[in-house]
Amino acid sequence: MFKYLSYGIPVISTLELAAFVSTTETFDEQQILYVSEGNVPDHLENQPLETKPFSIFNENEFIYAVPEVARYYIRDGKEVIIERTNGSWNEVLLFFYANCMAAALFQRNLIPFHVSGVFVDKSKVLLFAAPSRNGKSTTSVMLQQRGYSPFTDDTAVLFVENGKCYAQASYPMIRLWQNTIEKQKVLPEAEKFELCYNLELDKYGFMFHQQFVSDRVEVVGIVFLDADGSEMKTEKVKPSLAIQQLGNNVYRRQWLHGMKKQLVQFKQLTGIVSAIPLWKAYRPKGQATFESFAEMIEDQIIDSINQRKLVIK
Amino acid sequence: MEKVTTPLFSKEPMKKQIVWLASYPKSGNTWFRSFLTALLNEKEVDLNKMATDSSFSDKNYVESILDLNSDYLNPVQIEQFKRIAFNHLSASSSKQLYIKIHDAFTFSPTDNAPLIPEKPTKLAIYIIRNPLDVALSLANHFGERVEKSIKKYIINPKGGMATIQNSTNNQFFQPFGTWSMHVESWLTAPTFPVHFMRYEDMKEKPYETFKAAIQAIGLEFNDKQLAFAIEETKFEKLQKKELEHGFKEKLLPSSNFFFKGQVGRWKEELSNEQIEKIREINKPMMQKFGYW
Repeated sequence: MFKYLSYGIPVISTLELAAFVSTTETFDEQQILYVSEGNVPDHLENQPLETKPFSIFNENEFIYAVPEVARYYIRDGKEVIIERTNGSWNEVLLFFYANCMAAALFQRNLIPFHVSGVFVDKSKVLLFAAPSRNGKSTTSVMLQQRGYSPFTDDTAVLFVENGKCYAQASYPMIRLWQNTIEKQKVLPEAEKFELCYNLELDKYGFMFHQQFVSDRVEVVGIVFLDADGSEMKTEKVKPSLAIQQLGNNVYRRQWLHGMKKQLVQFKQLTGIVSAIPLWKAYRPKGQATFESFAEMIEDQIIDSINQRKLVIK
Repeated sequence: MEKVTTPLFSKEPMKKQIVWLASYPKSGNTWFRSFLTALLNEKEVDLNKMATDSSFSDKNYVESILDLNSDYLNPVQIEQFKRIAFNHLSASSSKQLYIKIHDAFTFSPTDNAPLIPEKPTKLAIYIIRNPLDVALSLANHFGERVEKSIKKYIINPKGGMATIQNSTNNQFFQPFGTWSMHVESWLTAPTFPVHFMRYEDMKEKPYETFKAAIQAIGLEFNDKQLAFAIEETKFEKLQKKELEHGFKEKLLPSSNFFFKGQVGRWKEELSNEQIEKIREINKPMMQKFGYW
């Protein structure tokens, strides 16, 4: 048996999940998510609320199946069963990390967001929200190069408590395209590993277990990344527009309706936008901005956050 | 790898809801999509909120239907999964879908079936433009010299957009072939109806040309509605909208998407050598569609 923490959730698995953080903590029995290999049922126990080519689900059950790779069953946010068909384990687990954890989170009324993030001081993080291939990982790595520690690379659960916004990171794995790896100096090329053994893919993984923080962390702001216009700039996003922007960055937001999480989402979004400032950072489409974009975010956003803290003190 | 042509869960009966809005790039596709938007919405066009439905090459679109990240799929999976996604999209849609496509009509090397799914297809509207003018428009679009656009795209049998290998590009690889190969693929290969409309006719006799297209699609609009949509989407109006509000589909911030839109610019701007090069490779379809 393997014991892990992911998104702050205690995970007990019969399979080794290398991307997760191992722990020896004693778990609260009620909170555990069990992951095992087994037979995935053909149907849900209850009526499906949504049926898609590879997914069938309702509020409490989810079956996901990738042809010739694997089938997955996620129930009550407490159990994940994986049935490998023809995929390599490496491939099977890529879909597990991407979908099973998100389904289990929704089943627990937790909302994952498509964000990367860095620590702007010892205990607070700034998050970068964008869909895949829009610069989340690159922005985070370029800021790591400027001295900021990594928080998460692709997703985090966000929640609001007593007027403050908190995030819980997924797991300590960074995924980078080779062109970004070549532009940065903080992650040694020698430590990169292949994400998909049977695919010619110019994208690689890096682990950051040593720096990873499993506990919840306060969020000081969210920056929406966008490639649009002809210049690099940042601007504050009004709360009325921020709800929509943030909603667009809910991870697997296409599941919200079928999993009956619209209300949970609405409460989260309204809570978050009233708790923290949100910005939009633009960079020109089709231009490599790497370091200069990170520098602009540091100058125009991180420095302003730190400046504000000094004033408050 | 075993062929996977049916979705695992969704078993809805197939409906033919897809109308492909097909063309070689820079041939009037966005103009036609703007026209359809004005026609269907019966109001002024917002270029950034078209009434048409995404594109065949849009990774985010396919990923959202299949709940996955396509970065981790191999080329065979991408071929098969795209078919599954668009079959599902059509089967689950209660309305006709207008999907932009720049791919040539090609076949899978794995299972020899068309890469563009035929079962959910009602028909395609194929917009065709003189390749001599397309070359100039492509050069502006990609911010390249005309010579390069001709060599890289118009006369290149391996021409295409994005890369076969997965990358940060938000679009899947789109094979074009030469301009002539592209046109011929849509003329001869599909088993569904394809309605051809020439860019030059859209300019010179818009009423008849647009009317024939909407009749082919099976849309019923009166002359007044048609005239409104044509007027609303005149090139100069679209150009003005782009300048005022921007256009998210524009590739480079430094160039305008709606650039000149003229017919016959090539006569002034292409060299004899460039004209010959394009003609030599693209003769069959240039002849067939009155560009010779």
